[in-house]
Amino acid sequence: MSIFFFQSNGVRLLLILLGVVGTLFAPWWVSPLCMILLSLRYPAWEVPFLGLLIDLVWLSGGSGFSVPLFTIVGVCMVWILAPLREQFLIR
Amino acid sequence: MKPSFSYRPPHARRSGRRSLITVTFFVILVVLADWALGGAIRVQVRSLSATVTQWGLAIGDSIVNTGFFSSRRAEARKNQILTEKVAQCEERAVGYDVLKTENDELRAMLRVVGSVSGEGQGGITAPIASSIRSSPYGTFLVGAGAADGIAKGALVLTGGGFVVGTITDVGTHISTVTEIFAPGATIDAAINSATVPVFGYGGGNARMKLPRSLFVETDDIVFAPGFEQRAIGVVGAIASSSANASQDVYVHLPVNLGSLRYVYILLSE
Repeated sequence: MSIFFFQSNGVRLLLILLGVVGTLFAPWWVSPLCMILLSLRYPAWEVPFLGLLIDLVWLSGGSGFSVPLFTIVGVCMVWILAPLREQFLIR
Repeated sequence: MKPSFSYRPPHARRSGRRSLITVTFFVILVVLADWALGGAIRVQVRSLSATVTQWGLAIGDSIVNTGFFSSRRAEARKNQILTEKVAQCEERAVGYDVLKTENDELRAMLRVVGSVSGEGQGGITAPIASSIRSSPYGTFLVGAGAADGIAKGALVLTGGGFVVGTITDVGTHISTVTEIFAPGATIDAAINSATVPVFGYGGGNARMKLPRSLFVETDDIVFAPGFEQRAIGVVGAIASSSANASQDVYVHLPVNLGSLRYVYILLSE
């Protein structure tokens, strides 16, 4: 196990916590920023969950189906950035 | 052909990809299930988030009230109280203008169908149960729901009678309000006998384009024909240039949305 394991996972955990807390308390751009940072640095399966959380809490159903924008963006980000991470991340 | 190189071991790549595939399917499943169940999952998550928000605010208050940040806190609190007082006074002043305008119109017309002040319609006061600035969709939660007689489409007003938004999702004790000036929202508004679309920007702000020949002043009141001719905002600024045939008029709610603690919800008859 690398000596950077806990440090790296600590940052990841911090970003996840910030994203979750930010969804409820912080300005709206905090959680998307955490999603971007997470998907750039980690193969973060938490990113679609953060997007889903934002949509479940804030997206209004209105009449009919509303597009869950942040869920879609979260899923797209982790998949689109996967090749980039796989080539350049050093663990 | 040269084989592709990666710094990461292949088993880590496979494992990461498997997790992502599982999560992607799970997330899609939740979205579809929520849609199929008519928003049942959303309602549960919102109830939980409202509870967490209340806890968070209570914890924040407790920490602040320990006195650790006393000098800074006292100043900040004083500042906040004064800001709220100014906002309330401004809103009351504009509310007075609304009543005056209404009175003038009533005097001008012998008979007016309906009432701007909402006579004959019941309503309840509900606390705001979430942060207003946290939503990217221009929504917020209020602590009243179907159990209190709230229905979809009910109008949500400030204390001064300005329409903030409408109820778009109803839970048992929590409802979602979508601001009429939510980002990307467009509604028809009337100002000085002209009816034009208003484009919402979120945070109680909106913009409209008017012909330059139409005389508009700051603090003019904007009404919404779609909301029983109720007031929806006041003119905050006007950007006009002699090179243009039109002028940009910036509209805002006369009360800071962030300082709102309670809203008034009109119940459908």
